[in-house]
Amino acid sequence: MTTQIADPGVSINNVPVGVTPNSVKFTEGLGEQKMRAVSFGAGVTGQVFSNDVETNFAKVMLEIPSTVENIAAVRGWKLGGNNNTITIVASTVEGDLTRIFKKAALLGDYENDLGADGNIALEFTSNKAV
Amino acid sequence: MSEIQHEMIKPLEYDYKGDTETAQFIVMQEFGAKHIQYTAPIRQAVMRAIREAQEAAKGEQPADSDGGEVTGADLIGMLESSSEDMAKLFLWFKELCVKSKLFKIDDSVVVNGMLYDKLSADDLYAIFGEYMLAFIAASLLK
Repeated sequence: MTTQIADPGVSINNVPVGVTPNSVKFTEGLGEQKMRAVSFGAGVTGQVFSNDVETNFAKVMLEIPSTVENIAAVRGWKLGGNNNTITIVASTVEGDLTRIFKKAALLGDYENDLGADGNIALEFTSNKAV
Repeated sequence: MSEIQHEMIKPLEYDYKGDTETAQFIVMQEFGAKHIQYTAPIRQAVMRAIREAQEAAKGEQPADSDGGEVTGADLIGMLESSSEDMAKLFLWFKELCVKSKLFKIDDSVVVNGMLYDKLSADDLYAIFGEYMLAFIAASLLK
């Protein structure tokens, strides 16, 4: 039996962050690759494979509740530019997952939802995950 | 406010300005009146341990003194040899570390709960001993 990772721990700049459950997502930052065909004639083809390094950035997506403390923290992460480090840690009976995202920045203009169950949806862009 | 510095025995990684650094040292500042609730129980425990040691030494031939100064490790050893509850003392010290903002890694990042938990046991014992020696129990040892 294998166990789904559903309860990751997230810390940003050495501070644990309380996230909305089931809201954490990330990409590895391994980017996109292209594959093109080349023809040698007479129906013989091969491939040319390339790495589009322009896309080699990781993303971390999560939601946190709109509390006074969280709104201040997010503002600090935004103003800090790309001087943020995010760590995601998760454990299951089969093993552990750890990913570190360095030089992370909030590139978009995030919304602070001030409703009764409002969340702040965040998307960080960073160097590829290690 | 005076401070002391502890060179890390084992590596500790922390986040700093978007990167991961390896801590070289921890700077520890002297506590003030607003931290008394964390340091008073520790000071009291040191006082009790000293009294216990003195009682135990009554009637014994005094050992030849090598004239050496008391170290933080000596303080830890004295407490561990006494009836004091070391687990409770470490809990008080942890409260001081994570709530006071007096402890900074590489003099730049304040120690919080997460960073405290990353400390090795060797470093924690050393830091606790050095801090007691320099600040909490300094006047008791003069």
